[in-house]
Amino acid sequence: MFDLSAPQRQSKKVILVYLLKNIRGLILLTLYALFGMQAWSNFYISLGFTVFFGFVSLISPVLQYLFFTFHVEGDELIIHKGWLFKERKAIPLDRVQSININENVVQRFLNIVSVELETAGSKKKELEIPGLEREVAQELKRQLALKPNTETIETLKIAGDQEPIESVNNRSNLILQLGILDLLKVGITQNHLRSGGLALGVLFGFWYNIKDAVESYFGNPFENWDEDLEQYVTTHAYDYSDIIITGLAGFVFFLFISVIISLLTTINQYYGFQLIKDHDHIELKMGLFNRREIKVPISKIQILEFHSNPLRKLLGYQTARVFQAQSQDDKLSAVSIPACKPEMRAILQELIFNETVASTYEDVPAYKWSYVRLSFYIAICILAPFLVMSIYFNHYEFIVAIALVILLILGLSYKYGASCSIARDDTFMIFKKGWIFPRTIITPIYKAQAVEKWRSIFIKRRKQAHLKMHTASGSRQLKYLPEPVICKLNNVINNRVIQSTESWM
Amino acid sequence: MTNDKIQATELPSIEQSTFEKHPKRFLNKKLIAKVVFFIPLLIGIVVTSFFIELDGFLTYTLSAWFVLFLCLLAVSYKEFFVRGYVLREHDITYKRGWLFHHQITVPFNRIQHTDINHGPIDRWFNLCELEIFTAGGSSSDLSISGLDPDDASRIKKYISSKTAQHV
Repeated sequence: MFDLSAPQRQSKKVILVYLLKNIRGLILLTLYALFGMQAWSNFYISLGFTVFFGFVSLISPVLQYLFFTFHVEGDELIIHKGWLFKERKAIPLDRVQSININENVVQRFLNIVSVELETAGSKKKELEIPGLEREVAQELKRQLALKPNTETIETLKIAGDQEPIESVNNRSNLILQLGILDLLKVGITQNHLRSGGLALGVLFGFWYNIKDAVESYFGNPFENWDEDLEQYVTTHAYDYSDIIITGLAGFVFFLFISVIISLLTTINQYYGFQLIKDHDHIELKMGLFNRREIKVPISKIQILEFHSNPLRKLLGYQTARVFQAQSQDDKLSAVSIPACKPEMRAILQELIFNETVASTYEDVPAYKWSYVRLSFYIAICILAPFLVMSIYFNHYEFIVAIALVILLILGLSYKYGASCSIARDDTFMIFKKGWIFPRTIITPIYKAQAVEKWRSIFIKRRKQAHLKMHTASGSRQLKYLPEPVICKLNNVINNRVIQSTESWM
Repeated sequence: MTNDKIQATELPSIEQSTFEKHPKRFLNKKLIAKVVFFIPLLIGIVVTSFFIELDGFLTYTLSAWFVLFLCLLAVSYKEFFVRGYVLREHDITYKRGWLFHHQITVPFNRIQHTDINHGPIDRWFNLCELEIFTAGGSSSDLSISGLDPDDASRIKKYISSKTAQHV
């Protein structure tokens, strides 16, 4: 029923998706034209533009649909698209790393999905088939994912290797499933300051966009707020406790909103979270409004990270993040698995790297005082102007404040430095860093692509250096380690990589 | 079949190898490039001093220019002597930088492809740049500038013969 050898079009419903996208753009454009381009007084020009854009946005979805085809030729997936600018994309099937199925609200309503292919060397958005029937997408995914898989099994058989590979690998089983209670816990333990900050950012961005329009109609509402405030302060008797109470109330309100936002975004993002092992892939399904299905080949996974924060530590939860080989150091495309209990940690390691971290040796802590020193220099450089100013204006109480800030920074960096350490066992490198937001980075030694030792001239005489390990999914580094240790680790990693014959990506 | 036991301490280490130096004309190129970069700055200072009438503007800016110029020249000069590369049987190591010293090792079986670049100034000095690309992000890519073109093509050939064995 579904033949990949001949060019295939998408589902016809995709026209609607394209259309909606265009209409959204059109509305924005109209708004902009209404508010922003008042100088364009000529009615006919505006009318002409409107008609032209209207026509284009109605016709182009159909053309987009007609000119978008995909098929498999040999071992390449070929996508043709474009009407004015024709594009032909050929993707070698064995380069396809992960196949993601996404579904936003509109697509869900129409019962179609978009298929996204990720390769090691491409920008993410480029290889997207935006509208396929669900069954077709599943079939496509199956066919694309199976290709390299069958090959390896065959070659293994030819090589006379043992059979049980199939029985081990062909199991597809559920590893982790999160219920609504887990999601609530994850939401509650999010970094609320960050989500509140994000919300504020979005709010300000939105305000900045519509500011001109609002001002042109209503004038600037904040035009003389400083005078208003002054008036308020002079007319009402006030003391410091008022200000403190207002500030506290504002902060509590901000926290409250932030918690709500983190809860909502968490549930939207991770609703119905499932982690499944399927042959030699792991598959993740999640999302409430925008449903996502991500399929990642296990062999392409380079780094496994565990993040935490103070709230999550209380619950014993960690967030696992899986990094696969890719061309840019894009943190967003990493797959994250929320709510990992300690026992999940071992399971994930076993699943992804076929081995868990055994007892580590060469546990080397970083020089914590070096972290303190660095942040002291930076803090002094930034705060020196304030210090000079406060002395110049005879406001000596500010010196105390500055000193307190510096002490706080130093204390934090001391704790950060004290938490940094590097360790290894026979197969893994383990980086640990962070005190408030602890982070454990685990990567198999043979996955390294290059090792780097670097130092500034200021730490040369202290015999310290930084170790940086480059993998196909970005670099991880640990600073301020004893130089002999780094040299030794460099050699160990390098020799291991040279000896390894396993495919690393 | 042989499969001798190897002690961990007997495994080769990078520190034992001696690093190859770049040709001396690379230093000349670096210094001349610095001078060429700083002359427009000098002209800019002199020209603005005609418009700004402040006492001692010219002397202060000129001395600042001179100090900066000397510092950067000194850094370039120093840098040349810590630069170097080692080709071993299975990997290439490159070290560079005086203020910030980096030493990076890339095994041949992780190299995707190599490239040789000749810029106009490079060509004038008969130099070229060898670029070594690995998979994934660009962070582990290696570019060795200031090589003799013959050396560079020899290294390139050597590396590609080594990588071909692995792929």
